[in-house]
Amino acid sequence: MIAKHPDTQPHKILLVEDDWNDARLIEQMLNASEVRNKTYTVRDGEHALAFLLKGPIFAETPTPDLILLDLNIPKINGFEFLDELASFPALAQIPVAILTGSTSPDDKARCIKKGVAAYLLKPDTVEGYDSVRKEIETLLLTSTRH
Amino acid sequence: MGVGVPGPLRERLLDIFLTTPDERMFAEVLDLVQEKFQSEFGYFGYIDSAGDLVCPSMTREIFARCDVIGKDIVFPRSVWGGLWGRILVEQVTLFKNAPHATPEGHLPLHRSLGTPILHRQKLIGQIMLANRDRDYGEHDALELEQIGNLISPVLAARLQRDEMEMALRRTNESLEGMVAERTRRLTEANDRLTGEISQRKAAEERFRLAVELDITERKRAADALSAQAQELRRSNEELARFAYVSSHDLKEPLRALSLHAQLLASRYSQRLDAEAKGYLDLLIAGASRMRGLIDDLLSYAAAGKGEEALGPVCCTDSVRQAMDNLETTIGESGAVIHCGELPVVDARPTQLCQVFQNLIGNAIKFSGGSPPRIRISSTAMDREYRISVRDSGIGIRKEYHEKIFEVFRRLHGSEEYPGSGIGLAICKKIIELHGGRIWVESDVGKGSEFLFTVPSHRSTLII
Repeated sequence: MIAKHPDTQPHKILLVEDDWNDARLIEQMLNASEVRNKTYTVRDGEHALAFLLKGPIFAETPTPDLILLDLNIPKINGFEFLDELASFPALAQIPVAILTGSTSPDDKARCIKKGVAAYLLKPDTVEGYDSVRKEIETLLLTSTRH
Repeated sequence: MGVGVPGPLRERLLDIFLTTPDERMFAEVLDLVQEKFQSEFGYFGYIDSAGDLVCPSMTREIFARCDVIGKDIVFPRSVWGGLWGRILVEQVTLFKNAPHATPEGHLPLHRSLGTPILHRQKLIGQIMLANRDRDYGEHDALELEQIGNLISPVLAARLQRDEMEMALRRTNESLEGMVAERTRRLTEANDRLTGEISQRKAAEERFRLAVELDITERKRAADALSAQAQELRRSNEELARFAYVSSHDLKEPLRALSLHAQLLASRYSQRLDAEAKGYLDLLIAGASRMRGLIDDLLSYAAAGKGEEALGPVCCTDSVRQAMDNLETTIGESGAVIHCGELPVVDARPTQLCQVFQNLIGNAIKFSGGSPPRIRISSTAMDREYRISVRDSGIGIRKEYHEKIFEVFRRLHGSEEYPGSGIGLAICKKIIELHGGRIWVESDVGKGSEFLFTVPSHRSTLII
């Protein structure tokens, strides 16, 4: 999905989310964004690592500019994924924004400790929806990577 | 002093005294003297401690026709008479050579001679002789008296010895008697004491067993209760954990669902007619309600979780806290809450506050138009307190008095009275986990009184 302004290269976003409803929601949200982006969605942390490490089926995939990570994912949870990520120097540079339903302050503190770029709550209202999109756009635009 | 008694006679007399045992002494002396004075009859007696004349030895034929009991014949002083009596009383040696007056059955006496035996001027015995063939004379009297003098100290010694022996025996007997008596009494007392001690011991043993049994039973009951309470807590915590996890999993899809509906309504509002918008509103409301129910269920599962410590809680403080939490509601409804003197109870503070909050909240909610009037009071019972929250609201029909404590049980539609019907279920759970009971007394239009019991401070099991 190509965003509206063709003169800039689209930002590449890796979305790690197992709930297909939530995934569609985010994809739709990003698609409607003014900031050009392309979203790749994987279902769990294992697939995410394979994607990033360009494992067998992911041989042709690009390195993302931003990872949007849900904490409540199967096989290895969000925290474990963050730790894995940190162990690969090349991957540790990629900014991660948590996108979670958890309101737990402990979870937030833990993620911030692990050096995430943002901790975003999944929206349940239209206003929330718009505000989350704006935050992601800011992250994309302020990222030094691009 | 025995002067004049011929040597051989003297020796023989003394020999008798020295060597002969009691019984034969008197007889042998008498035989000897009778033989010397060739007298057919005679007696030799002594004065006993009563002052009576005792004749251990007497020629039996004197009293031929009378019964002789024992070997001693006693002549009490009161019967002393005749020549022999005179001799004893006057303490002189006398003789008579003429027929005597004798009592019936007594052998006739023609001649008699007698002498008192004196020791230190005290009469201690007598020798009487009778019926010699020829008269007794002065010479015989003198000789007999001399014999008496000779015998006197020895007889006295003998008698003294006998007396001492007697006294000793009597003392012994008396002592023995006393000892026996004392022993008897001591034995009796001992037996009584032993009996008492056994009884006491038996009673103590019974008591000890009863106490032990009581303690054992109590301990067993306490252990059982404690084990039960532990189990309850454990299963409760498991439920709470499960509910916490499940509620999040259950709510996640609802978020997206609701949001989609909202986006649809928002982004496509111009392209939707009123009916379509209506459907979307219901969709959104439904999802919202579902989330509310899940949250309530989570509250219910979490209610009564034992993380908070059990301790003394002032109910008045609890009520005050609940009223703070309901500040807005109280203000808006104009509720008047009267709180009587409330006790200190054993509880988990936040949970007790939750109970009051729910009950007061309900009382305000179901006040039925007029400003709510709520009265909180307590009654002391045995080891627990009964707290009452009374309102003047719409009341509850009797057939629903138990139903209302069930989870999600509501008696009214959500248009009339909001709420998911979890408040009372939470109260019930908390109260029961505290070891109490909760119930309602009410009728339609007559207000409601919610009552619950809570253990008084220091009477609960420490779990």
